[in-house]
Amino acid sequence: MRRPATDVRTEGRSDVTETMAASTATPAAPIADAGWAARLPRRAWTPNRAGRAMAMCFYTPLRRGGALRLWLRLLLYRYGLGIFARSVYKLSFLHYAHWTVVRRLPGQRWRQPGYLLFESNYNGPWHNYIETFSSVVGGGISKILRTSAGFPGVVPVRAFKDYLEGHEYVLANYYSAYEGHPEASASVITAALDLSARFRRFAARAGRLGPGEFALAYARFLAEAQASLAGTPPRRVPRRWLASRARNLTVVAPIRPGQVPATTAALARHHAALPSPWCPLGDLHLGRWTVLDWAQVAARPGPVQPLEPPCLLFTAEIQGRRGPFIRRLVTLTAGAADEVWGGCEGWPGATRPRQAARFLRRRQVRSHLFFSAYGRYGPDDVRHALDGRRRILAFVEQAQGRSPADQLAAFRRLTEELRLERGA
Amino acid sequence: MLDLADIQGNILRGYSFRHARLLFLKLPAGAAGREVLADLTAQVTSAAPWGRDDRPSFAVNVAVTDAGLAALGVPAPVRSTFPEEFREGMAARASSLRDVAADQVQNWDDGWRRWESIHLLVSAYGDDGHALRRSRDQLVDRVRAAGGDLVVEEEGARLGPAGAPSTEHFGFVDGLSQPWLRAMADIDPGGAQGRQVLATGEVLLGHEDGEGFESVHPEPGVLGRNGTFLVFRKLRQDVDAFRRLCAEHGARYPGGPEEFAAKLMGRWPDGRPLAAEAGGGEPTFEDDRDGGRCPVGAHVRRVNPRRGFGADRQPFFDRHRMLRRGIPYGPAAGDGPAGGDRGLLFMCLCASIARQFEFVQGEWINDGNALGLADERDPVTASVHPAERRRMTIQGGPGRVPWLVAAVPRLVSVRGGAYFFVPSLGALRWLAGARDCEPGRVSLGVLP
Repeated sequence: MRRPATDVRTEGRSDVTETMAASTATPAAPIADAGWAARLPRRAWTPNRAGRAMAMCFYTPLRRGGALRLWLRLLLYRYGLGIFARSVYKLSFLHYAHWTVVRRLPGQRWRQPGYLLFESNYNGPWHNYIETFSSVVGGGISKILRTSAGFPGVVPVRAFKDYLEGHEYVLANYYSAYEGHPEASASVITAALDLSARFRRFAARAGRLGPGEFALAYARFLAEAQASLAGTPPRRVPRRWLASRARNLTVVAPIRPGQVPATTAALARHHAALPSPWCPLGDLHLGRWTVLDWAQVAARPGPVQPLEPPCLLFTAEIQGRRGPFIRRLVTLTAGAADEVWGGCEGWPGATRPRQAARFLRRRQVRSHLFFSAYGRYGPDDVRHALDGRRRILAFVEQAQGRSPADQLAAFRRLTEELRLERGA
Repeated sequence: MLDLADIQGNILRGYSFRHARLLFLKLPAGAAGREVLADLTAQVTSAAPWGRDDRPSFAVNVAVTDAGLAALGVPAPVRSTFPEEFREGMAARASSLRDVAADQVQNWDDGWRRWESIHLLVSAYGDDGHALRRSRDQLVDRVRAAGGDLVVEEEGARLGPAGAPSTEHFGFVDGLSQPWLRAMADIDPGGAQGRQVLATGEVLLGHEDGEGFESVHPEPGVLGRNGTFLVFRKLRQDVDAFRRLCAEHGARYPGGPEEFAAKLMGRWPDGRPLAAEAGGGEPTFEDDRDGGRCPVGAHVRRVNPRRGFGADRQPFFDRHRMLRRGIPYGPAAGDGPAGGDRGLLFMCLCASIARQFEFVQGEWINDGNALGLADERDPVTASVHPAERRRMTIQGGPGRVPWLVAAVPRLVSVRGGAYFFVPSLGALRWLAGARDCEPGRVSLGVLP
């Protein structure tokens, strides 16, 4: 779907009722000029937002010969020099991003030398994200995007923004495993993972110490962990991007004629549902569902071309291998999967899980470059780290300025609570 | 070369007058409103320099809201060339600013809840408060006689003795680290000494901005050159809460209450930086990236991170700088209990309200993510719910462990605010002479 005229990307997520009311996913109607009350922040439908995560789905036609050049460029970034990787790791607000060369969509009838599908999950307003992207990784991004038709360069940034807006899709459903933690931005998650790991190491040796030794060890722990107390420790750049255990999954399936409204409505219901029907998938970090019903054509600049039949694009960041994840998806969330893919050509139904899994597997498109901020940590690890961070910060706040004996007593209470919780 | 006679006087350099009266007026519609504006335009102080002997006794400047442009008869197609945030107004931009409900329009001061009626800001500055009062009375009478009204009025005065640096109510010297516009080098070659130099188009419309392109500006051209945008925000300061916080934490904090307060603010009360450079200049934070001297989340470092994230990031941060022109209001807080209404009439000037003011307020002050500060917010000026207690980390240094400030109460609250366009003198004359035009019939780029 095209982005609505009303810019909803900086606003808060709507409540269930409002989301349901907008379930047909049409752009929000302009608000009548009824005085300042009507112009207060609109609680509009915000499909590209899940908790603190914002999503961008960008699909752009490539120039002639661009597919090969882009493929080689992404390969170079993936296996080659780490300059681009280091720059991307500097972006502390980035959860995940992937770059995929798509040769042809199922419903595409026009000649076109391929497309670039770029999706990212970030925190903060869209405009700021683009400005930072342009400033910090502008060189690397330029080399990727100059294979695309009509790319104006990353500077001036306003022309770059106009270009991105012209190729951006609105998501129909956006799932985040961290939505229960309103503070869970990418930098908070990074900080929480680092702080929890440091605290575990400290706790393993500190419980046996006397008050005097504990005070010294505790001061050392605080000094070492201070970057994670406030914000973000510098992200470590893995030797290769593939070192992460996280994977990207991309599935494109054509939708049967007349089934778009039902599919969109189902996705909007899932977007609004609390808890989300996708919660049972413990290895799903973030998931996005987008109806692709138009596309730009490089050879025919101007109005966008309708895609007939439209396609359902499903992209997800998962922990572990894709095959087992797909099997769990069609068994643990069978009802939701039926609602979503039931309108797609050839969907066998989740009551036939082997065939349904095969349906999704065969419609996969492999990403060529994938960035993951959390490496080997799965959604459960992240949630535990976020909970632990709250506890640890509360403990540090209580302990400061107290006597070593009081600090040690508070520390033992905390470790006991954490142990009991883990046991539970 | 800048045309100083075309630029309003408080843009390039702040005034040093001790008193300010800010009149937020509703104009009569159409020709009567334009007549009022024409009268005012004749009195507006330009940026033309004055010497020690010919310093005027007062200065007047004018800014206009989107509703004001409409009242003056500026047709919708012209108004639509102004940025969206300006047309919507501050009250409607609470989500971009991340203002909590307590700081939103429904909780503003009485007059400010009628912000939609405000068309014009007339700011008058002078050293003689009584003379300023008389001028104000004459202007208000003139506006009322023409069918307009005074919607809100704010009165500001510098704190501290004459000649001394101006302070704000928490007791810190204010107005430091103002950037310097590149084009000012022609006028005052020594003025850039020790200051951050910004591209002129970061503040003045129609000039080259930080990207090397002409800044985005409204049309026709006369509106889009030598003007700027002004943000006004009335900030009430809770001096008692600030003192209690410093006393409570200062009793346990290793450096004591004064150092604790300085760590929140990022400067000592007399304006000295916490992270002073070896040469004595303004800090760049380049050698204090961990925040051991000036905490990463301290107020002055948040609103101007300088090179705290590396020299290569400074060009990006410089795109979010602005010129501040605020002045305190309310009586000075003595040493005893400091109840009462006092604070800062915050004003800043920038070429893009969204990119500069709203970004700083929403992302750097009211959030920590963009600065690598997770969910922490500005310890002094962030918008927080009255019952909320935010956290701040004071990083440790050699021989000192980090200190977590567990419960920073609400210290500053928003009592009103609006976005204005500060036209050039030429644009003011154009607006004062603008005729009512039917939408769609205006010829952009052609003066009436």
